[in-house]
Amino acid sequence: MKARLILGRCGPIMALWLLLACWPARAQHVITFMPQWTPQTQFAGYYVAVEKGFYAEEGIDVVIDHFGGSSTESVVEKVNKRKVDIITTQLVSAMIARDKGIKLINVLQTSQVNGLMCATHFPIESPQSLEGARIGRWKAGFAEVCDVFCQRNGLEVEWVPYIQGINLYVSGAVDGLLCYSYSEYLQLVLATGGIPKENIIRFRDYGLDFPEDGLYVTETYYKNNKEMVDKFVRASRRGWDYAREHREETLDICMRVIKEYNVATSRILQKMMLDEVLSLQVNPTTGQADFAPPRQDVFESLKASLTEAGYLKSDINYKEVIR
Amino acid sequence: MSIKKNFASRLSLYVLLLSASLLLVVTILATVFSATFVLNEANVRAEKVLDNTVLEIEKVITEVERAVDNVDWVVQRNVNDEQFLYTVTRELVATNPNIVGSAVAFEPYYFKNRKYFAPFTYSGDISHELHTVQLGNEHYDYPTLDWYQIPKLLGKPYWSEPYYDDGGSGQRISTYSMPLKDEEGKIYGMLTADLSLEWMSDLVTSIKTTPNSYILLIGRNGAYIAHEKKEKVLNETIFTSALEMEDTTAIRIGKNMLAGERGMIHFKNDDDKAFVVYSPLSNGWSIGLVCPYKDIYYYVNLLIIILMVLLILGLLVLFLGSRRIIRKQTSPIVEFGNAAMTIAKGNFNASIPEVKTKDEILQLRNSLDYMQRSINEYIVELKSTTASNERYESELNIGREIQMSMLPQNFPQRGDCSLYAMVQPAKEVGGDLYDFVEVGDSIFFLVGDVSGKGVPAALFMAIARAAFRFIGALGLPISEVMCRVNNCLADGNKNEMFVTMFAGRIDLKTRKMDYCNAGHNPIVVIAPDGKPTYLHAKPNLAAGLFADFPYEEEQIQLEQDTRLILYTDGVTEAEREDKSQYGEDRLLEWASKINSSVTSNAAVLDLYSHVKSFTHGADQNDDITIMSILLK
Amino acid sequence: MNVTINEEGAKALVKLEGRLDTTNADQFMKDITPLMNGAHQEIEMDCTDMEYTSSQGLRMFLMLQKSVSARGAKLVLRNMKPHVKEVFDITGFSHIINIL
Repeated sequence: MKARLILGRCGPIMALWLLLACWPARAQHVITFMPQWTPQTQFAGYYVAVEKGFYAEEGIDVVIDHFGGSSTESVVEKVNKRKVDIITTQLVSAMIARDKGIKLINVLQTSQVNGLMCATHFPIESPQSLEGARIGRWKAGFAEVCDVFCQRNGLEVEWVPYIQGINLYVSGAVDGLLCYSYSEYLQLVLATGGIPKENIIRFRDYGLDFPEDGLYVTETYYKNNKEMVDKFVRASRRGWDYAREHREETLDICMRVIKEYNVATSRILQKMMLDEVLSLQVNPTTGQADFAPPRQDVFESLKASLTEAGYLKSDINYKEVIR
Repeated sequence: MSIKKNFASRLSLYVLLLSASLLLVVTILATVFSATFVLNEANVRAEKVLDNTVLEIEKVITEVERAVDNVDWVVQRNVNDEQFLYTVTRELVATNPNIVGSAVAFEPYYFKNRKYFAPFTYSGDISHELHTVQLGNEHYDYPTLDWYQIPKLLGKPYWSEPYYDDGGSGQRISTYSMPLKDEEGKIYGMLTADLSLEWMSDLVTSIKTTPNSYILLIGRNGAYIAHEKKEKVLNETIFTSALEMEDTTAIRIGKNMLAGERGMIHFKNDDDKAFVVYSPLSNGWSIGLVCPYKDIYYYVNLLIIILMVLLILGLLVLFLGSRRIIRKQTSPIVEFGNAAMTIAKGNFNASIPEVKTKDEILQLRNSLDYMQRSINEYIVELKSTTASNERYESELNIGREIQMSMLPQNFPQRGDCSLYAMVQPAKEVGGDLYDFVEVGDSIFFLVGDVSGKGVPAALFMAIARAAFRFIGALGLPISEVMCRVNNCLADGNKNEMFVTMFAGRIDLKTRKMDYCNAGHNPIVVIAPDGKPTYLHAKPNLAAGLFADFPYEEEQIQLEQDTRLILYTDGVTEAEREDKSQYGEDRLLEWASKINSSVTSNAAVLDLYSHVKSFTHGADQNDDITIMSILLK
Repeated sequence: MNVTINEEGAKALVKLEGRLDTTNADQFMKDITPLMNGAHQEIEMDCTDMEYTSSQGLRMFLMLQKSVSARGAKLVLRNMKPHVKEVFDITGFSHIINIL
């Protein structure tokens, strides 16, 4: 029973049809997984788990359906609408979802360190340097932490929403670009030959070191399919552990997946991304990639920041979100 | 022969080494020069080709820009005519082979309160049929897409970074977007034209200055728009490999190109050296032409290899040829060697080979020839000298023998007289003599010194002795004896040989002595009391020179215990090493020490040893003759 | 012995230097040959530096004297050292050869 990958580019439309078509007939051992972005080594562990048969060993069949940038629904909405079973998303997104009544629970915390950055065309001496700057940010979100930062420092920024890529930056249309250290930042490096250190700001250096990516399911789904979720989590962990130890092989696996989707990228970029993602998975307290769930104090701090920034209205419970 | 071969080989080897070094230097210089020249030529050519390519691309870019520009005012005028807008896009695509898509996209809610309005025409991938659609929906939010948003933010026309137009023509395209501005300058839409980059890809891959040269085209984001290795196109940037390899030169090239610079840089392209000439394009892209040194130097290397091969062959020929020539030129030397060997073995008449050239070898031959003749002459002379020396030697020996045979050894054994004499001959002279005859109670004696040497002197001496013996026995007065002996000797004596003599006759009873001196050294008379004096006799003349010379005799009365010492000048002129002579004084001094009790034998030997100790080992150059007569 | 001959017309001035003994008697003979065979009417020999002569030498002088007398010329030996003259005296040669 091999896992299958479905073309996610042409649409959530196609995926939706497939899912709807198969829904009633969907076997209990099939789980649909949606990574929150296009295929890349950001999700290496999962590809490895498929390829190496870790899911198969657990007795589950995994269908991976990637989120497309042009989708109108977010991954959170998709899982809530049961179009997919399990997703990756950021802790922030899950908390905001909770606030809206979407009961997501965290079943695996992969990211241990925050990777959000801003790269500019000018030197950043202090947060004030960003005052009035025109900065690109993803239309799909992923930048709530940045909003917290701006609010804390009383910054008024002209946000330019975009889908993906770094052309906004290289064309000189914006003063700066939000980027992730494992994604757009690396693309920027490859596009320019290197961004000067003074033109970079990492938000985790300003007290915003909140963990990011993790696996989430709805409470309902979890209640009904606890065993399968546990199996999925277990095998995914194995996948990540294997990826950590076998980088080249992992790269080969990922490149094969990526090639199927015709994504414009290079092996070197994917390698850099893999190394960065794996390093962000190292728990700074223990020095190990132990997939430690977010700590309560961190959770509470994030909750406070988000509430302050206006993203949270209700009081969400740590224990409800973090399993 | 083998030595000869080595010389020719050695010399040839030196010539070879010298030539090789010179040729190597020349070759290196030529190589460096030609390499530099060729590289420069390649540079110039590459730049030309690059510039041509730039022109080609600019032509197309300009065409598209102009096409869009041209419809700008039309669109502005008919902005509310939906149908017209569709037509405009169709026209743009239809009339421009390079334009594969065109759209007029409006700001959300600008056009008739629709969120999205963007008529778009594209040419199908395979069929080239025109399709017109509406862009823009929830899934295609064009206001946030680069081709719309960036020119809007920049406020000016923008060529997008190349991408795959999956939703349209299915080709690699770049979109030229021109902002539509109202009278206040506010942007309300975009007029776009999609330029297909497939032709560009074909163009650039076909451009080569050398077999392995290639063009690379990059966008503003560094991504390859065209590259020899198709898999790199749009997937890799100019920094991808450079960052991986930490190649600072490649990074520099990338940054220069992105900065819109024009130039040339030498770098290492996967271990092969190459140079790249690069130039910016007007739309913000950059194009470069990479020329591997391998290609450029291909012919130069070929030339060098051919040159090297020819060189080695040439040097080989040089080596063998010069060896042969040298061997031939120096063959006379071998023959000289052989001739010299033959001469050395004793064949002094060996012929020395002729030499045709008029150079040092001829000189050598002439020297050798002269040497041979000199040797011959010398040998001939040596032989004759040796022969004459031998004759001379034998003559001397014969002379000596004659001389010695005439010296009586039976000394008188008498009670009234003790007589002893000796002659110690010198090597070369055979001239001294002594003689004595007992006649009753008289004793007749003489001591003489013949001038000259060898057999003639000895014969002369023999005649003198014989004459004396004969004439002396006649009982004539001693002067008469001397006259007759003189006449005998003077007769037929053309060589002017002479003999100095002292002859005497002692009557042992009366102890009276008659004596006649013929040019001889004065004898020593030692009185009984031991006091010695020289007996100064008339010199007369040495005998043998003038016939009829009137010799005069003298008389003297001797006493008992008187000793007479007769000698020749071999005693008084005996020389030691410093050429000082024994002399008459020393003789007298010795004589004063001899006592009458000493026998004549002892006395003679004593004087002899005295003389010998004086000369102290120096060569004896004259006969030493000593006679002692003691009257007892 | 060194024999240096200087001719002044029919007169020969000869300088004798050194020793005359059996070793160089032959050479001396050769040296005075031009005097013996020559037509000099007067031969004057300077014996200032004549150190020694042996009986061989005397012979040479005698032969020279005889040849000179034979052609009616004069031979004079001058400034002879005393010990050399002694030899000429003892042998009675001083009566035959003109020694001054």
